[in-house]
Order: sequence, then C-alpha cells, then structure tokens
Amino acid sequence: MAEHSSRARRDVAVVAAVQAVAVALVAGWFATGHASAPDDGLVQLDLLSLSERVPGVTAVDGRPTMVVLTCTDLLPVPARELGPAYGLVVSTDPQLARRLSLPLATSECQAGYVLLDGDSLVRYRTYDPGWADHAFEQEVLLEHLEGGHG
Amino acid sequence: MRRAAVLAAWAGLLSLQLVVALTYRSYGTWWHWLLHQLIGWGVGLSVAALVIVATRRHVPAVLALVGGQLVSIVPDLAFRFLRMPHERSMDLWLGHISIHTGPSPVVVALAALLLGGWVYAAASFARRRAATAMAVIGVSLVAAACLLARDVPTSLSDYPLDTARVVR
Repeated sequence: MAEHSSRARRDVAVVAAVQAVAVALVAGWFATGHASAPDDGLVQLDLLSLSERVPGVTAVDGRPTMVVLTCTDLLPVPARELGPAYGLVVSTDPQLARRLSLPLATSECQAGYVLLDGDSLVRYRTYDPGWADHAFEQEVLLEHLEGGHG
Repeated sequence: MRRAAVLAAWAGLLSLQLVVALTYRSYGTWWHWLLHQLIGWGVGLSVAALVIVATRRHVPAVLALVGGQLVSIVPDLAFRFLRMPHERSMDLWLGHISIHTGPSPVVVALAALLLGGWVYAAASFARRRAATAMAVIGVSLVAAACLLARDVPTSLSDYPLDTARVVR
C-alpha cells in the first residue's frame, strides 16, 4: 500500500511537471503574438481538399507544380530544392495572391503557396513563410498529385 | 545499477521528446506540435484514470502520456515515414484534423492536458467519482471541439481573406 502510494505520488509529480512545461509553452505562444488558430486553423494542414481551376495559374509542362506567392521576387535559396519532377513558379502579383486566397503573401510578406496537379487544378493552399525550407513537406504532397491520387 | 538504468531511460525519453519537438519546429509546424502533443497527453491521462478507477490497478504516468501522444500523432508519423498526406478520416486519431478548425485549438489542447492531469491525480489517490466525472469531461471537451469544427475548405472562396489576421 505504501509502495503504491509512493508510486502514485511520483507519477503525479511527473504529470505536474508536464503540465507546468505545457503551460509555459502555451503562454510563450500567446505572448509572442500568435493566434490560437493561425489562418483560421488552416496553416500547413497537409490535406489535399481542393480541386479548382484558377485563371493565371498553370502547371509547368503538365507536371505537378508549386506556385509560391510572396512580396519579393528575390527567390530565397531553398535548403532542399524540389525534385525535377515538379514545377516551381514564384509570383509577386497581388491580384493572383487574392484569387488564391493568400492576400497576406503580397501585402504583408507572409509567403504562401498553392499546389497544382498536372491538369492545373489547385489542390492545396497554405501560408508558409518558411516554404523555402520545407521541400520535404511539399514533395510528399506533390508526389501524391503526381500519382493521380487525392 | 537499477538507478542508473532508470536515469538512462529518462534521459532517452526526454531526448526523444526533444527530437520530436525540434522536428516539428524544423517543418515550421510548432503550432501543430502544441496541439497534438497536449491533446495526446491529456486524453492519455484521462483514459489511464478511467482504467485506474475501473481496475484499481496503477497505470504509470509515462505509459499514459507516451501512449496518448503516439495515438495523437499517428497521421504525422504516416506523413513523415510513409509519405502519406493527411485525410479527413484521420480524425480517428484524437481529432487530428478537426481540432485545427475547432474553437480556440490551443486553449482546448491545454485544457485537455490540465483536466487529464487532475483526473489522473484524483484516480491515483482513490477519488474515484471525481476522477470519473472529470475524465468524461476531459474527453468530451476534445470531442465537442471536433464536433464544432468548421469543415476543411473544398473551395478557395472558403478561406479567410481578413488581412488583419495573424498568420503565424
């Protein structure tokens, strides 16, 4: 019984420590100006839920293509470039950004991108200011579009 | 010897947790880490509390925390290691999709963890009624947040256009 009580106290202490860390991290999240649901909770959801043609965006050579919307045409050097199987287009056009529901990309430099399948249908849209470093994530999604899935 | 083994196990577990957190951060998905770990830990603790109440046997906190965490991040593990995009059906993994578009996701996730911890403590110290009631509330909180969630957009016109919104 004493052993059970001692184990219980120790485990509750572990839980309290985890809770304290979580409270500190959440406080830090809000203290640094972040929203509880960035972009209404739709940022980097990695779910291919769209299938929509938008004037002004076309898949490069019929390949799955990433169209990046940003406020600068100085293309950051991607840490890992997209594979040759995929197209990459960078645009600073505010009208196009708005049509793609990424208005902050050109007005506040919060870059975002859409992914097109080979038929030029928009299949995915997200804000991602760190897009140049997230080739793995983009390739997983593009790979799925390449296979005609989703 | 046993003490050294326990210390090594703790060091390994904490290192693994650090790797997981840094991996989410490197993908620019710290917000997703916050949501899914907290939800996983909270639900894991609530379920452990119910098991303690039902069986009167001790369930180690680490088992509850890591078990809940693993269940919660199955879709992210599938994305990373099986290259599988998310799908709506992945809500089976503790609301992995809907929790994003539900009300105040970070607050709900923290509440789930705090409730889960209190439930676990109540169950561990034989406060069975309180533990059962709070465990049900904790799990229901996550379920209700998922049920109240907005659908994932199927059209670009469904996305917010409010330019005053904080994105990250």
